[in-house]
Amino acid sequence: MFADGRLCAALPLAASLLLAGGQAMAAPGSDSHAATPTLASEFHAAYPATARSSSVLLAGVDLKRFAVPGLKESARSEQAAADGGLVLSLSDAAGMVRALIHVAVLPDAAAARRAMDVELHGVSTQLASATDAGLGDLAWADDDGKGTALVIATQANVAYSVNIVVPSANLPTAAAIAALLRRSMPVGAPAFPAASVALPAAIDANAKGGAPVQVSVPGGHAYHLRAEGGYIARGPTGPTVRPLGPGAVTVYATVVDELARVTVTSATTLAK
Amino acid sequence: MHRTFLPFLATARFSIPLLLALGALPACSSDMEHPAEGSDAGLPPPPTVDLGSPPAAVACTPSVTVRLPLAVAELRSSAPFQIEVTIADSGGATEPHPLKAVLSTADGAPLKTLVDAPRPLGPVALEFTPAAEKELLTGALQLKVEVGCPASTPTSTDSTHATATATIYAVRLGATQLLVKDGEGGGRVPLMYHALNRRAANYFPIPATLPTSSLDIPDGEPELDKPDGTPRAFPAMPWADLATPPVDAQGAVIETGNTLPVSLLLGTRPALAFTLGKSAQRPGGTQSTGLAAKGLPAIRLVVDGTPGSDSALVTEGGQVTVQLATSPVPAIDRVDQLVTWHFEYAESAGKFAKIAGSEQSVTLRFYGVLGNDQGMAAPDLPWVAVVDDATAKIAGGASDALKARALLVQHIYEDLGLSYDRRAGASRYTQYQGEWVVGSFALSDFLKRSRGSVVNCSDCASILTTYANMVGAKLHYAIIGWNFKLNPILGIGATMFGSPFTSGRLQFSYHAVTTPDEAMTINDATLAVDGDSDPKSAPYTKQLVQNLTGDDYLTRLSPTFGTGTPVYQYNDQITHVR
Repeated sequence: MFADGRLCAALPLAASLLLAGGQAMAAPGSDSHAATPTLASEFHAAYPATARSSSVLLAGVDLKRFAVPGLKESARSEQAAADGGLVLSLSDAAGMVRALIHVAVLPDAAAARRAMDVELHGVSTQLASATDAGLGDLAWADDDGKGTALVIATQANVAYSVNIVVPSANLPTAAAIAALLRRSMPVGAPAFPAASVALPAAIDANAKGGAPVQVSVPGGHAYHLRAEGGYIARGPTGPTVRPLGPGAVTVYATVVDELARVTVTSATTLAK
Repeated sequence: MHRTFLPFLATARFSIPLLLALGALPACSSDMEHPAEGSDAGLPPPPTVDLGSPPAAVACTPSVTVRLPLAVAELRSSAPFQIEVTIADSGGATEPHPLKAVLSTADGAPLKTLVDAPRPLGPVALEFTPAAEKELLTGALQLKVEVGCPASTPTSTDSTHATATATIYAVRLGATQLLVKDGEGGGRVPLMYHALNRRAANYFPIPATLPTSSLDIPDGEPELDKPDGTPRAFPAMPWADLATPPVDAQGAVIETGNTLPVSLLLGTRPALAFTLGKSAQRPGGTQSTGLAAKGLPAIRLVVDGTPGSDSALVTEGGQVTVQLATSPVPAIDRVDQLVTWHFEYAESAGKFAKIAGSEQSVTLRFYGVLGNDQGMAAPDLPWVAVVDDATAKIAGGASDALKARALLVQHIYEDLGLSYDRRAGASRYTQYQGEWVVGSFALSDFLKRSRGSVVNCSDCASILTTYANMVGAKLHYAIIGWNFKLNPILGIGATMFGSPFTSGRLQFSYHAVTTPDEAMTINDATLAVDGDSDPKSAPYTKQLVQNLTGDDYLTRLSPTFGTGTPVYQYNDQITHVR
């Protein structure tokens, strides 16, 4: 189920990568334009992934156990782990966003390293290896590794980051928050939540009430829906999808369990 | 037939000249005596003329004509509907003649008596106010005007009264919805709401067939009127929420009763497709609009400011399309345009007359854009929230991509309340896949600032490319690398030139900028450079990075440009949004 959902989401991205990559390689060379991109190799030289991943898999991140004194969760973005996973915004009492937490629980360590790489590609300073070895089997941090404002790390199959958006005197450092997060990662094989979506085999493109969307989440976890070719509404007995017109309609369910594990699954039907 | 005397004449105390002036008397003979003014003060003067005996040669032979300045009446018009009646008498009778004018239905049922009293010879102006006549029905109405003879006047044997009739077409005119279509000179550009019913990633591309504006008509009620008979009006203002269209309790899009925005290519003269109403209110129920009445002159819809056309002839429940004469969006802009229209009927060949009280109006919201460089499928479509902000900022100040990009750089750099991440230079809203090959921008979160307002160069590049692409001023991002030194710069949100970081370090590992042409031209909303001849040192002259050449930009950005780094490496990359 998980793999199916990720595949659906990854196909358009893969096409985009091919397209954009082709454009990049066609770029002209000049004094200011590198004929052959070397940035990738420079990046990997700056961030060597030579440290071995822990072989002890983590079941996930228990976000209910994770709390930062003085901050509360003010927003959450939920994507498949390969697309970024969870992003939690932590705000102070005044509503100012003080810290961001990225968490991606993946099936294996290699996937976690890839997720960390994605995160590192968005940092325009050179981070150092974290001085606190407990932050992860591979951890990078600002401020000469102390992690005052930023920690990006993996531990086995979990990739995470802690990012201080606006510092304050009472706010712990990113490394201190990362240590709290690390303590919320129970050992165990990650079991991603089961979920399925079912749609009628065909639906009426002009039906006023839309078509019912049946979502099954055996664990009872919260989920959210989105659609392509239609939009999500409510019906008398549950969610419905309303086609935007004739054509394919796909409904995605994103399910997040108590250990921040994300499953994205989908179903497609035809609106006539 | 009324034969009404003028009883007051027998005992009248009017002076003769006054009666003459009223036309109630024939010319007086010279032996008529006028009462002396001021005589017998306090006592009524005795009659001096036998007014009951008209000259023997006079006989009443009445005639009447009716002229309607307009033949068509809008049922809800509060403007008086004019009727010109002319009474004449070829027999020489000059006293006021009994006049009766009755408005009836086509099958003769009387609706309203407009007059039933003597009137002097000559023109008589009658009128009624359609909106005030609650019993008035739509359709062909018969106006019957009869004139009789004064009781005091002998009549000819066969001409004791005369009759004239006219047909008045009472109609209920109005459009129930309008749809902005491509028209000429460009056309519509897609628009999308990004959070239907405020649900994240619940995208709603506005269908090109969805009415742009429409009346709010509850089920079972007449289309053009409320149950109390007052005309329904189009929404006073466009739908204000930039994230979601209007939805009902189930989260379904409400397709009527609102005005949604429309994005147009600059210079487009859009076509407005009006759907005409089919029903109106009548006492106790619903009635047709009268547009199907037999003999009704042709009626057309005319948009103010656009010449009327015979191609816009209306039918009950039909559609007419009017192409605007001028473009509402000659430049990149957000335009709330009041569109007013009315109806005219064919008076004679090629000549139309305005039907009083038939005006309708709506305020439409147009976004004038250069196109769409974001994508063709949700969520990579122009978002209402972005296009609204971008066009409002540009506000007619640009009609080409170059100027538009420059203004958007300024907008992002100066107006959005953003500041650079001075500690780590980390992205909050952007991720790259495949090294730096393709970007993914959490635009929905950015619009809410749910991850704060501290950003880095990748975020600024994402914001700028997204804003520009969604108004058709193409921008892609480029990546400059690696670990290169900086000249003093003025980072977004900073107040002094220097290092972008609190550490004082003058170095980027990489830097993201935007470009329309593979880094030949650079726009950057992350920072301002020193615009003078020595960008390496003070004094500093703030220069926004608006359409600088690629080399000029790097010269101002880094003291090591030309030594191998910095260089543009990913030159033409696309950012997707979600």
